[in-house]
Amino acid sequence: MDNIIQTEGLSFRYEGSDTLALNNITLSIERGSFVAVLGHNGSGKSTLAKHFNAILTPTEGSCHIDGIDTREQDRLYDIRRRVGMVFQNPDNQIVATLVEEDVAFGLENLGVEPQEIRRRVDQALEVVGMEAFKLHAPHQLSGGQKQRVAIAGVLAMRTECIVFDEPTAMLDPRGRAEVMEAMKHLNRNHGVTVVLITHFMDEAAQCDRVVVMDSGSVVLDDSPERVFTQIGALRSLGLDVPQVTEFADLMRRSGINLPEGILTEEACVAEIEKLLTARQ
Amino acid sequence: MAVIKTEHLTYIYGAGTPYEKRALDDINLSIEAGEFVGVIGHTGSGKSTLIQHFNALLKPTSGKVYIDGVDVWAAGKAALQGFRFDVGLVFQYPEHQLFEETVYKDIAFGPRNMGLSEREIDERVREAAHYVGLTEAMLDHSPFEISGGQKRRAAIAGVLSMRPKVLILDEPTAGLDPRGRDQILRLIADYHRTTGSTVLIVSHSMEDVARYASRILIMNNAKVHAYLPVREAFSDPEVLMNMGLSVPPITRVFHRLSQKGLYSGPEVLTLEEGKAALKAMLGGAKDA
Repeated sequence: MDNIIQTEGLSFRYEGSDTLALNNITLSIERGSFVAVLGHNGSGKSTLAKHFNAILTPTEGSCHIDGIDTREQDRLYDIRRRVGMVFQNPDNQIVATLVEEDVAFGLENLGVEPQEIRRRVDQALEVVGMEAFKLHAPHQLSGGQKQRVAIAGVLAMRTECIVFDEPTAMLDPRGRAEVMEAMKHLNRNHGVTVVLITHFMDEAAQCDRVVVMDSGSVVLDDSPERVFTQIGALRSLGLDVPQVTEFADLMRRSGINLPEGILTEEACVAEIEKLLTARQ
Repeated sequence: MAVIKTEHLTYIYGAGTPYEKRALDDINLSIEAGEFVGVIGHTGSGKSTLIQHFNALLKPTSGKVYIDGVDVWAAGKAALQGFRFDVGLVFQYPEHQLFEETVYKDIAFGPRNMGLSEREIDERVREAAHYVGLTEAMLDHSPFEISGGQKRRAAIAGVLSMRPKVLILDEPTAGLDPRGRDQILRLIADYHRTTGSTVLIVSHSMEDVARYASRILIMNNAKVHAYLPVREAFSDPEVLMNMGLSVPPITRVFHRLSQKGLYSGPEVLTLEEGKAALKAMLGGAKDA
């Protein structure tokens, strides 16, 4: 299998701490996949994510990015060119006074030719649907728009994989939807591997695969349909399921047979329709 | 009686500069004592600017704000601090503002500024800690060595300890995991029920607003779009979607069923209501 990220027995201990923040994690992320990582605050999600572009390196075990060991200090550039990160707070990621300059920032630092910068910036802004804003000042944008500019900045570097660390936590409903759409578009139409750390179960339900962490270990790793069937287990981990999934479960427990694996509103409406037809 | 009232409240940022922006435009609003209000609106709609007028942190460019019937900006400078004790404001990510050596001292900061006696301060610190579910032992900890969720609760306790008549929280669950979200919302609901105080929550979570609030204040482009009971607010999902907002997933499910002619009851806001509605639909179909 073609894995962009591969960890083997990865453990990590923060300096001065006597507990492991990550405990023996063996995980592979396939190129082109869309993976959600769930877990309560302090479960190790962000610590793991920081290993994916060598902000942190394993205390024990290994982490390979496209076959490169993240402990090879002189290959840091090769690693970060492959895996980029987008963080929670859009205001902390914007550095320039114009949208297009912000997107060009990383490329300028790499010494890319001006014409090539122009081409890549335009392309990246088009992918996230922000080309009309290229001459705007970032502070005048909404939260969702700022996050899309941050994504474009990573894309312009021709990054193959983007790790999103709670990119929608500070956004309003429209902003959340915009960023979710941008991530799906990148994944489906541009082949970008997406790792999405989130506290929103409805976002995780839209991914191909859901990895659940607890106390520094991976405790569940499966399709969203299978993971969100385990409502009791998720609750005991301090997590939740999408509201329609919880609704179907509530109905089943009171004797109405809505099937398991309902993750979307569309599916929920369709199953209720079936029930009504069957009763007539 | 209205605990907070505004008349023609307008606020302009950067007046006279090229960046002039009308953040609030002729707001006329009256919030009754004891309400639990969800404040919703897209980023930049004016929510945060509005709530900062409710405890005299911002002065209107024009128009008036009344707290408990008193015109805030006509009452004199000495009275302003009193309004800030009456209306407690919990900012976004309030844990970033913890600064004392111990959780106890942090929660005591407000009551101490009110000039209360040590005995009274102590009573209020313990009462507030109890409301937010912090144990006695945690009070002696440094606020920097407790968990993220506990920090958030300690910060909220720092406002509750002033026993405000009105408690306003700006996105109190942002960035928390599902368990942390539930804990915070439940403690706010308990506090509202126990004390009968007025509570306003600014939130982007329509599910949370539907579950806990009795009324919704919808802000849109610096104006009050509507201030009405929750059920009425969620009766037209398209209107909210066009404002960059949303309704809870369960509400959308039943809305779609009613568009298909399969459901004809009132708006469904919670899972329990959905359960009752679906049972009635299936029961009805069986009898037919």
